[in-house]
This record gives sequence, C-alpha cells and structure tokens, in this order.
Amino acid sequence: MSIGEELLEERRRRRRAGDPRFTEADREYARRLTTGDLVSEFQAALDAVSAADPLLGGGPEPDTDPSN
Amino acid sequence: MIVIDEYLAVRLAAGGWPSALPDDEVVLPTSRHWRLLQALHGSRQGQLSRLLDGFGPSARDGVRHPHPEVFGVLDPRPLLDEAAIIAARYGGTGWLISETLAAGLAFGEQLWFGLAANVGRVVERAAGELGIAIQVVDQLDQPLGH
Repeated sequence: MSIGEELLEERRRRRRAGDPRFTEADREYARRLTTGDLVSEFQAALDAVSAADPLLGGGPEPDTDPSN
Repeated sequence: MIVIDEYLAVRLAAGGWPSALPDDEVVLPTSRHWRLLQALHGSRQGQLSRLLDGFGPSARDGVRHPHPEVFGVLDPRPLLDEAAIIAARYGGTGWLISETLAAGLAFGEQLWFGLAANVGRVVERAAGELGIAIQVVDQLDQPLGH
C-alpha cells in the first residue's frame, strides 16, 4: 500500500468512525432518532421548523394551494 | 462529494455509516444544517428542541459544529444563482428545497436521504426533471450500534 493509499484509508476510517464527541448514549439516541422509534417525531419536528419559516420552507406547493 | 440530509448527518456523526452510502466525502446543505441549528437554539417549547435535548452536551456541540472529518457543511455562495433559478422555476420553494436541488445538481447529480418522508414532493418531482437521482437509504440498512 502506497503512502497515498494509507492516507486515504486513514481518512476513510475517521469518516466512518463518526464524531468522537458522541458518547455511546448519544449514539444510541441518534439511532432512535434516525432509524428507531423517534423517526416520526424527528420528521414532524423538521417539518415544523420549515413550516414556521417561509423563507426556509417556502409557500404552499403550487398544486396544493387552494387559491390556485 | 455526496449531498446528504439531516438524517444521514446525524447517523454519520454517530458512527452509523450505511452500507448503501458510497464511500466518499459528504456534505450537508447549509439550509439543512440551519434547520437543525434553529431547533437546537430555538424555544425550549419547540418539538425538535425537545428531541435534540436527548443528546448530551458534547453531541450537541457536534451538531452545532460538525466534525470536518465526518461531514462538511456546504458553502452556499457558489450555488446561489442556480438555487434562485430553481426557485423561480418551481414556484413555492424556499431556501431548503432550492439549495438542496442546486447542490444535488452540482455534486454528482444525486441526493442522499435517510428517510423517504424527508424528500418531499417538490424535490422528488423537480429532481426527476433536473436529472438528479434521489437515493434513500433503507432504514434497515446497518442500524447504528450493529
């Protein structure tokens, strides 16, 4: 393995290892949010942020706006 | 460079790289990072704020300042013009949709989501017209901690 390959592999390993600031409890909570029992709540919460900010979330979709 | 959504950002930060996700540098659009940050620093009454309270202080810092070796936050400036064109073409889009589509177009004509429900109808429709492939990582694909 060349030095270039070694460096790329080290970069890949760090990327896949995740953020070292996340504890095991944080990792388990992230699992619940993204693939577990809190997925629906997470999505509803993200949607709520967009809905509260028209600049971010936009207006009604053209095909769903009752005024169209 | 691969453009990801909030679900994949949280998964990657937690070390849960999905096997379906190509092994490449990944970036989160600024608008999607903003959505997480707005919640993190918003009212304690907010639903997402309560959800993110489930993280400890160091992980919350990880959401605020993503680890650069895990994923980056996209610089929106080079995408502004394309995003504005997309916003004009698909009326009713905000910054979230227009930046996401512009980023997908600029980086490999693909967008990666962690959940189908996070794609949205406008992105799905516009992506098809713009030639952007929407990829949704299966929730059962390599769950975290396994």
